[in-house]
Amino acid sequence: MTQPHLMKDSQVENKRILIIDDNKAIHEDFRKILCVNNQQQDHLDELESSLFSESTPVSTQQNFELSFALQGEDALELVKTSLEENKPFALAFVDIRMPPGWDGIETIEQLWKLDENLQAVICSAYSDYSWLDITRKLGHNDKLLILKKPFDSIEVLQMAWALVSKWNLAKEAHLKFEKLEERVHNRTQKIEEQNSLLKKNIEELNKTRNQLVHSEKLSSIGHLAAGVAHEINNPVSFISGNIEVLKEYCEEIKNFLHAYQLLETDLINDHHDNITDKARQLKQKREDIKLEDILIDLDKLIDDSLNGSQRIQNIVNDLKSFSRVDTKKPLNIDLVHQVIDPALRLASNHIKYKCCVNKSLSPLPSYICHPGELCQVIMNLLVNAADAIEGQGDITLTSELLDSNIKIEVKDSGCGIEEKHLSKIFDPFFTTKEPGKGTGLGLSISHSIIQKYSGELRVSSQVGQGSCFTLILPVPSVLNNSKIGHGQ
Amino acid sequence: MKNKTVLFVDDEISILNTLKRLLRNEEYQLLTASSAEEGLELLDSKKVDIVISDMRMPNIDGAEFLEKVKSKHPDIGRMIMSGFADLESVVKAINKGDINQFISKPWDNDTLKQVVKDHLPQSTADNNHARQDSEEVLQLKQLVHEQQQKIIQLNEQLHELTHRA
Repeated sequence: MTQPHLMKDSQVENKRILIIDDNKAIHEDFRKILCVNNQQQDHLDELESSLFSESTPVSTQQNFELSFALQGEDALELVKTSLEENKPFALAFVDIRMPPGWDGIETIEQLWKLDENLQAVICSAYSDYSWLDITRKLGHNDKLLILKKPFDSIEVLQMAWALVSKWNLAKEAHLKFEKLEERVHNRTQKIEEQNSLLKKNIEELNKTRNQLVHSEKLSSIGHLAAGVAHEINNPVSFISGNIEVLKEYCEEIKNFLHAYQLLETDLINDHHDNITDKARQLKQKREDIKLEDILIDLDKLIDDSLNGSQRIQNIVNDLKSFSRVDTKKPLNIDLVHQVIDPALRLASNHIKYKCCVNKSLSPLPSYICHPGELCQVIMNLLVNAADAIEGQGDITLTSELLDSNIKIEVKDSGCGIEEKHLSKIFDPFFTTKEPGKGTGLGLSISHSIIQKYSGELRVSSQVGQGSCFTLILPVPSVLNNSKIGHGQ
Repeated sequence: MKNKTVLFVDDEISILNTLKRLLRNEEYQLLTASSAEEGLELLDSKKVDIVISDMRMPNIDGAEFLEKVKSKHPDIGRMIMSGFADLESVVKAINKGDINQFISKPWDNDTLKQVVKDHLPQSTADNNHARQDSEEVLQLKQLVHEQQQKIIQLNEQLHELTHRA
């Protein structure tokens, strides 16, 4: 950062001054005043002054570059060229009367149209224009001064110096301002870049979180896949077996009917020759194929198969309710039937061989949620409970409405959680399962899902006694209590 | 007369029903049990040639059940039938149950029939090869017996000779 400073001569870059006067003698006066090195020598000619300046080199400071114009129009041309060459004038001394062309006021007006930064001094011997007239034409501004003739050379010199300095200071200020603006611009751009980077990061984070939720869901479904496959496999096995048997039954019944038809034809046509034989054969056939047994078994076979297909249908429905995590719109549902039961059924194959599940499900008010999310939470708690049990154990699943809170509890008689682990179990990637057995995300994601519903997931545990996970979901409106689902 | 017996154990009654239907015309008697405990009880009272058990059952699973079968009735053929074919359970079935065969669910009927037939002890009634084989075996056994007797005699003679000396 540059410190503010007073302008010194060496830093004054633009010392170009334009003298506009229809009197050439005046040009010379200006030259003498502005191009000498010492105020005391204003009457010496240039040669003398240069000689003098050689002997006193200290005072060469006010070496203005002068240009001269006799008429306003000429001055305009000079200003135009100066701008084109990027060597603008800092200051113009303008005579007020310059026949036959523009007068001083007009000239200044024209010059400012081209170069608004030009400082101007109006030189006037007459009071033909009042200050009022001048300001009416040129407006009130800080770029115009008045110099009354006859000049006082010190006044001229000081005026030139002051106004040139002013021009340069203004220029510098302008540059600084531009720089500042540029810096602000750059800073803003950087902030914007960082902002968009941050936005991207947040998006990425959200995406990752969603992916984590998804992968945890996949992992828990993968965890259960074997169980679910088994659950589907059994009915598929016996249904397809049954259908093969059904085919055999049909074949035998068809054969029997065919034999029966032959006998029937003989009876109708009065061919009584071998009729007793044929009837006996028919009876034999019936006994051989155990037709009575087949007919009795047919009903059972069909019932078994229908039950099996119903079971497959249920599993598929449960899987659907589990995969509904992705539906955007929340649904108003009965938690017991549409969340707890499907979760229990999906997890059942994982738990039923080692745990006895005691259900105590009170009816709950209908609840607006994404059923798949809550299904994921309950299933996760159930699978954890089963995993905590070595050998045989019990899981108790309860639901009840406490004041305006839904309370769902999953309690197990498993190994319990060590106290040092209790504070970490909701941390992502924390797991005590063997590598590859758990992602360590189940409880963390369950926790964040429940938080989304402004609910709570609590745990209490005693090593060797088991753990109890309690899920509290506030019911948003008392109105909802009017609709109570039917629990079991 | 069906003189061979196969026992199916599965906690799924519908599976047992289907197996009974499918194998109703096979040349062996079919027994079913819906739990390992029931199966073990049956084995105590009936002569069984092959046990085919489901893997996943409550309380005692297939592998543990067949382990018990092996220690109590080592001559009975042991097979696991399961749709739950993860490596862990297959390894357990093989190591603990020392099974002769793993049948996956859903099964193929013809394969199932063939596997059971292959593992049943050879029947003398319906197989000429088997009869010939068993005659040869009998002859061999006879031969071995005779040789053993001879060795025993020679041994005794040797004994006497050494004592006298």
